[in-house]
Amino acid sequence: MKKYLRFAENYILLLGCLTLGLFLLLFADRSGGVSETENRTLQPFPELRADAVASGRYMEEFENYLSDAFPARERMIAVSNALTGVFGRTDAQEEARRVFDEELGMIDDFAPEESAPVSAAAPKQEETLPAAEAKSAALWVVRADGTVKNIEQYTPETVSHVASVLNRYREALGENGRIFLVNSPASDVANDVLDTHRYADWGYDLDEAMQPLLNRGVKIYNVPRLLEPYRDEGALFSTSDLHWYVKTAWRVSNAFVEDLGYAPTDYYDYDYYLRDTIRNGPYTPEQLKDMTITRENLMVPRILSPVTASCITGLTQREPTEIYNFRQHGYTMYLGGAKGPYRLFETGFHTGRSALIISDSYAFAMAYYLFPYYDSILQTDLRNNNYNLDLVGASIREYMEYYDVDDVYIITCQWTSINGPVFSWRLERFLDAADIA
Amino acid sequence: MVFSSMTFLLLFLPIVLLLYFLAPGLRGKNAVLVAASLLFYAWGEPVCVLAMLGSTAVNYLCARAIGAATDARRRKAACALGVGVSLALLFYFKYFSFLFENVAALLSLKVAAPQIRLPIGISFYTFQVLTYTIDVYRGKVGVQKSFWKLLLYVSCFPQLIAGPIVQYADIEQQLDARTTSVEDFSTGIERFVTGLAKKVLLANLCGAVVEAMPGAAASFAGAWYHAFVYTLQIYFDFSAYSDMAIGLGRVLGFRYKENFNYPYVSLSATEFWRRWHISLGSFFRDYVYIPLGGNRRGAARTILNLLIVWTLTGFWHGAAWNFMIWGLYFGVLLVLERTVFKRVLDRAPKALRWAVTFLVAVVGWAIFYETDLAALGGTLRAMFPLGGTALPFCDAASWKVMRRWSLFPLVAFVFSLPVVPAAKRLLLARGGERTAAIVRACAVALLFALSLVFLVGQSYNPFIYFRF
Repeated sequence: MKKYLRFAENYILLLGCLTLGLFLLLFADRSGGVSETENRTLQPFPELRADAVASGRYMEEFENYLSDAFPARERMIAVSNALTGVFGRTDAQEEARRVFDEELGMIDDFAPEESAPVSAAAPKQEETLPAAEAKSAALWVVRADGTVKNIEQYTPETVSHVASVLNRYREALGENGRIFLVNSPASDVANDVLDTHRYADWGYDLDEAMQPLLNRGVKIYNVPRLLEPYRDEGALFSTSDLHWYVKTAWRVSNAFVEDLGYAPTDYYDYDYYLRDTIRNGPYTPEQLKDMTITRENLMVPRILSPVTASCITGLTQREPTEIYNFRQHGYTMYLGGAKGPYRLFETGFHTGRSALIISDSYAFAMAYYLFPYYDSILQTDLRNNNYNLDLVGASIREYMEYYDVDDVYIITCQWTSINGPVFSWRLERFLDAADIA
Repeated sequence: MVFSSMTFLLLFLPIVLLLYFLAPGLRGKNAVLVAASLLFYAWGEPVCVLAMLGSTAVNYLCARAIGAATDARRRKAACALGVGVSLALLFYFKYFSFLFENVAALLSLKVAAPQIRLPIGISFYTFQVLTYTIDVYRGKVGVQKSFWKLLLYVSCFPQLIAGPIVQYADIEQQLDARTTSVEDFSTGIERFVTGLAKKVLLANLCGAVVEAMPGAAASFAGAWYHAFVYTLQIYFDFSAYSDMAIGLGRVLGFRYKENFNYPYVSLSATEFWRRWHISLGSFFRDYVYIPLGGNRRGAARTILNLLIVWTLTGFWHGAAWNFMIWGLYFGVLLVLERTVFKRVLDRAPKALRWAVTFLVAVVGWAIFYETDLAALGGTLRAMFPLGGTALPFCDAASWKVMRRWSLFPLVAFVFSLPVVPAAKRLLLARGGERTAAIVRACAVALLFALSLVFLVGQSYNPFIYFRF
């Protein structure tokens, strides 16, 4: 009897698997979507094509679809993150918070090695500005009771190191080239500051600490200061997908545009798509009830002229891609999602200049507002999942030279902080190398 | 296809098992298995399936020729042809580019090596089919008249891609007559679930930690931590696959031999290799070491034979110099254990022997990990900063990872020791059969559910041994 019960358990387990599999195959939503938790596009049901089957791409996409369409997926990810957190890893937000709050102190002990691993492309010692000249900096909030909480701290060594990396990028550009750096607070920090019951103020002084170390043509922006005049207008950043709203992106973009010597284009000179918030949008009706958002915060800017978009691999190989992907939700609908390693947008404007945007997904909404000022914009994301080393085929410097880049925008947020690996060595490493070997 | 994938777990496996058990007679069941195995392989490697079919067909014909040959010379020629073609295919797909690159470098030629796609599992199925042809030649097994049965032996999906390397002699009878009892089914599924959990909950998380490290050569502590976690990852990853393969084989009526036996409890390198990848060790023992003369031709020849076997073992793992160094590293250690250190080892306290053996394994895996020789040099310099080094004791980036993942490697390490069998014994002794059965049922359900939960969100999921 006992052995039959044991058999029944295993039989039911297999039957359950089959039922779930058939459900996913026959009844699940096949349109894909976006995972706000993971910050990525979900796989729609793949189209069956002979070439995709022969190359194995169909199978890969099918597997991704089954995983991405899994019932209660976001909840399961939350559970797995929570369980993993027991042993040391937490989900993205918690991890970032913990790093900011608890671990940065440790960097002081090992600061000289922060840019490890040592690589052939690492700057020579004499190219790094002396740490003694650099000052520490921070992003902080002032609580309602007047106490200050540091959200992120930057040691003098980090400031010096990042400045040296930015200066190396500047050297790689032509005489009139510019480097723009934005290291934005995360959306929840930014939106918390709006809660005047909890926080009275916020501040950021990385720009003051770093600017003296930067060469001509390199500028770092102070996002809290840029957005300070607009705090009364309600949410500046999305409360659900970790990014800033389109209007906030436009405001920050204007700072770039003004420094380029142009007059910013009016926000309403752009045409906008309106995201469908109920059927296919990033927010559920329940979420919307609790959110202070206006209609304009659900708008997606429409490009002012015909723009062609290509996915670039191996420096020269182009494959057409979309600029908007309305099958996706949230930020991944911009710029065709997160296809990598490079994307090239040829704008149809004739300005005689080209730009490279090195960014995380914070730049997605901003890029549209930069289109009118460039002939072409190359965009890449150095994070692990997006910067495919098998496909990139050349160093950033080679991409800059090949696409005749005049200006470089480096747009990050707390999640891909200048304290993190992107700045500590990826940005530095990949300037002159195509891989990490 | 990967065992720890949704496609396999939710569609392929249940459907194949359903068809398998519904199929009438062994002939029908074998047909289902061959079709399923080819689909399983083609799912990931649609074109490369031809290489496997070709290798099987050639060896089938050669074995038939061996059986039909009347004189020894023809038998030998047929065997040599089968072995030669299989090894030539393996050489072409796995080693040609490597040889080309090295020859070009030696002659200072600026020619790009051809990019040849390595068919998954070619090292495994090539060795399997070799055991058939060689054993037919040796008269150890009979000639398989049915091509489909031979194809089933080579391609049977549980062990096709990453072993264990099943010798034909071990399975010959089961191709013609096998049954699955209720007990087999349950034990097989439970073993599969255990392997799945090992892969998803332990190996993949170890892999995430290894991935998170900035590199193995950043600092002394970073290099050792990296090597330690990779040591755990490779064990859980590979032994998990073997668990799943053995479990699935059991469900289908096959009895595969064990491939791992808690290698990290070993007290010597020799013992370690009796417990690690047992089927590969058996293959090299039966088909290389013993034919070379084994230990029967004097001490010097034994040493030479060992070094040959271990160089080949290293090279079997991949076309890169580090694998050869890794093989030689163990070859030399085994020779030293047999000769110089035998007495010392016999007298040393067990704890010391265990610690040294474990360190030897960790260093071995550090060599195994770095396929680039310059990077390997960096790693070894970081691990052994003899004569001083400019590297820090611990770098900030590694320290961040180590702090964040301080507990998990220790928990994983505990699970690499035979704690589960000990717990089972304890439970059976204290709680009796009924309690043990309830706990086991709950554990299986929980492990499966947890594996699914983790699989849904895990992007890092390849099996390390697939690339061999």
